[in-house]
Amino acid sequence: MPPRVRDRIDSFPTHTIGGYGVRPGRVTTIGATLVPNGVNFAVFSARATAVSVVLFRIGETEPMAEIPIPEDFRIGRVWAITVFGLEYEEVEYGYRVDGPNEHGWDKFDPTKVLSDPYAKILGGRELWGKVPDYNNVYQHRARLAFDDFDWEGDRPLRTPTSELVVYETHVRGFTRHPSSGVRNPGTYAGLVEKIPYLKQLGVTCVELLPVFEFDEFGNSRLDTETGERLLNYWGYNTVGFFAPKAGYAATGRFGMQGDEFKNLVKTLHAAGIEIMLDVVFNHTAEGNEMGPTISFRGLDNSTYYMLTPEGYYYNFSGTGNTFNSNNPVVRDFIVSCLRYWAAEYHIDGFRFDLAAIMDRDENGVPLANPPLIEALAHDPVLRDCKLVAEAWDAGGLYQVGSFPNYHRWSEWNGRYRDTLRKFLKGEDAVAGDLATRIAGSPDLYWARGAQASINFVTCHDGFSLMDVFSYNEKHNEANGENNNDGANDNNSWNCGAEGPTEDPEIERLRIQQVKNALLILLTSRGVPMMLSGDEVGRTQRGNNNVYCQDNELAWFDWSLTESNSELLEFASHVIALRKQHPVLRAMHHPNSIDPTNCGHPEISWHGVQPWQPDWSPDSHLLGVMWCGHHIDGGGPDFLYIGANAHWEAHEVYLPVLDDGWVWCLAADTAGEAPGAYPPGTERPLTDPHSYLISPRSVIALVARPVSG
Amino acid sequence: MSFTASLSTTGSTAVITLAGSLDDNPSAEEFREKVAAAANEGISRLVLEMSQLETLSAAGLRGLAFCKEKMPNGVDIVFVAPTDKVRLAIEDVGFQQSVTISDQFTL
Repeated sequence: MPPRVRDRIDSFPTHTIGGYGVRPGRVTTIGATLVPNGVNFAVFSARATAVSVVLFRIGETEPMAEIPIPEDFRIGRVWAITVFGLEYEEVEYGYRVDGPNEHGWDKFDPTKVLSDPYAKILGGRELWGKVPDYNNVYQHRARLAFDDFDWEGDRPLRTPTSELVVYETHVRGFTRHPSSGVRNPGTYAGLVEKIPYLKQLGVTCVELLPVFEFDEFGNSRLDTETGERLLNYWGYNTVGFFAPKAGYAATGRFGMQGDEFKNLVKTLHAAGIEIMLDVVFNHTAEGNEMGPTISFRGLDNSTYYMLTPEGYYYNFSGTGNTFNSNNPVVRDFIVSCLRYWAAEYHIDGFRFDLAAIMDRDENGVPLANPPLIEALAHDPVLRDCKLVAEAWDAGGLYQVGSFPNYHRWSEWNGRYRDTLRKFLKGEDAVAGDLATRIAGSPDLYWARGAQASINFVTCHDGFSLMDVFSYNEKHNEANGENNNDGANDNNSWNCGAEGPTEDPEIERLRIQQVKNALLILLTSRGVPMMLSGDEVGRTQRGNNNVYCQDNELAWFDWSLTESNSELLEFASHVIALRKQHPVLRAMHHPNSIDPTNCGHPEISWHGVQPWQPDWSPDSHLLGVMWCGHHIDGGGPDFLYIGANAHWEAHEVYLPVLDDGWVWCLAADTAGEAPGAYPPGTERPLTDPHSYLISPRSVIALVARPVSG
Repeated sequence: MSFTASLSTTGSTAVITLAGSLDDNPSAEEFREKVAAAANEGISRLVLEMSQLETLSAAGLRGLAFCKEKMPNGVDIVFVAPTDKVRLAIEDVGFQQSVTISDQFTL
């Protein structure tokens, strides 16, 4: 459309290059931005000597135009140009960048067309699993994004941390299985169809494995049995940090993945469920010296990556390169990216993969006060977003309990996972540590409160919960690495047989152990996180590293919701139990004294006899009583959790309640299926003073007024 | 099939009848012009008659989003008789939540 007289003065071209009207661009907004009548392209490179905008019609292999950005359009180290007359919806763009290669740090290569790191939409991988045309010189094709989604007033939910029950899942794996019954399996739209299930289960936050555009073909291994190429299923291999994964969208073929993802967010929010993204800023898909040149390497290798003095890539991520996240330019990139997702996609929180890397300086040395971590903690746009660190990296930096936090960051509590697993498998000398974990890990987070502790027993990385109790050893042969990949310290126990068994007692015990883990998890201080499928006993057949298993090994089998309905019902009841009792959700560390003189401390510990916990190494029994008097809104609320990891039953004598109150059974993992009762339907005890806790089982009691 | 869009207004209802393929910028632009014209009529209901609409692309879907943006608050938007293919494309991106989809309409 030709400019009209009333158009802004800056909506007219001042030059013509390559047949297009252009003018000097705006350098302060990096990336491609729609401006009146045109598109502003701005790109940073510290040492480039020439930059061109390369334009393609969507999907075509040959460019339709190439527009060199004049040297006098550059301000500082940002090259910027506004191009007029583009068909916004039919164009893809990239950059061709040249520069000196005088030492090993730079990797300029003007034969490549580079993807824009700031691209909001990427083409090239629109259909999941479709083998790319590698003859195409431009693989990950930047497109323009449009800000026209109808949010209908949606805003991030700002759910208090105390109310979170996090559910970690994978967009494709959640509905890809044929049993899902959704119209578009394996997509954002498919996940939307399952929101009623999540609502019924009771979770309040969905945490998605990476949804930033990645290349599922970025894995070169083969299935040892079939010889087929294994895909990168998990997606910890980012190609485009601002772009949602197109192959997860039923509408990816239309380039509508952004809208489809926004619809997922909007629909989750309408159901009262937050959305947290697993984000991977520790490395990129460009790998090491042998990897593909996609964007950063050709734009500004030594700015974006940590390099050795010889110019090789540091590999603190274990994947070939390390993103140089505390470089000021890279830091701005990351902050801008997260702001974009928070503002444009209404994301409620972020979980940072291998976050300890983000503490390192450009030489890999851990910083006491890492600028990126501090900037994210205090960023005004991200102020309401949850920030969660996976507080370790592949270079040996382990910071659980010591991650720089600025009273904003929380952490995946790996200690919680390890302790709970050890206790349930029956290891000695764990009861005391379990008590510390149940209390919100005050040893790790004494200055930060229990909200710093994301409690979990399982996550995507490792065994599923059913497999924790079905396998002593990992079985990763299908990954094509001779079973050398994946963790070896799983703290698992197979309950008597390795893998599938027809022994009903073992099967029953496994179900019981899954319930034990869920019940303790949901009655611990801190933020509970559960892995998708654990509520129905999903198995990965002993594989504890299904990153490359785009098949039934990793997918959610929806038939389990019927065959293991007992577990599903149990899980929803114990989530409801947590919601019913504010004392479980409070986010301070509980006190073992009674400052209000109500007669009971907020938390107290018990053994076979009340008030006599057994902290000896032989102890496999722990009783916990919670008292709600000390909590705002808690009132006269008492819970007793009795965890018996011993292989023998124990009759425990219960703490005496105030007059007019009796203990009622809310859950007994060894009891009649499902083993838990919905709030309000708890059963009075046969003997109000004691309870026989079966071997390897956990009970939950709640205090109720004596009826009548 | 090439794209056509025709606008008629009866009382407080504007009807845009779509036919062919709404799948590129020129067709989307033509559609948006009709929507803009309808928005100037002071209507309370916008009906998109879609029974002859064969395909939608990203440009077409964005055109539909434009309807919602362009119409003043309170204007009902009704998509009438979309084919299954068109309906599914609309539902995948959640537009059905913002509008009414109906098999037929009466003035």
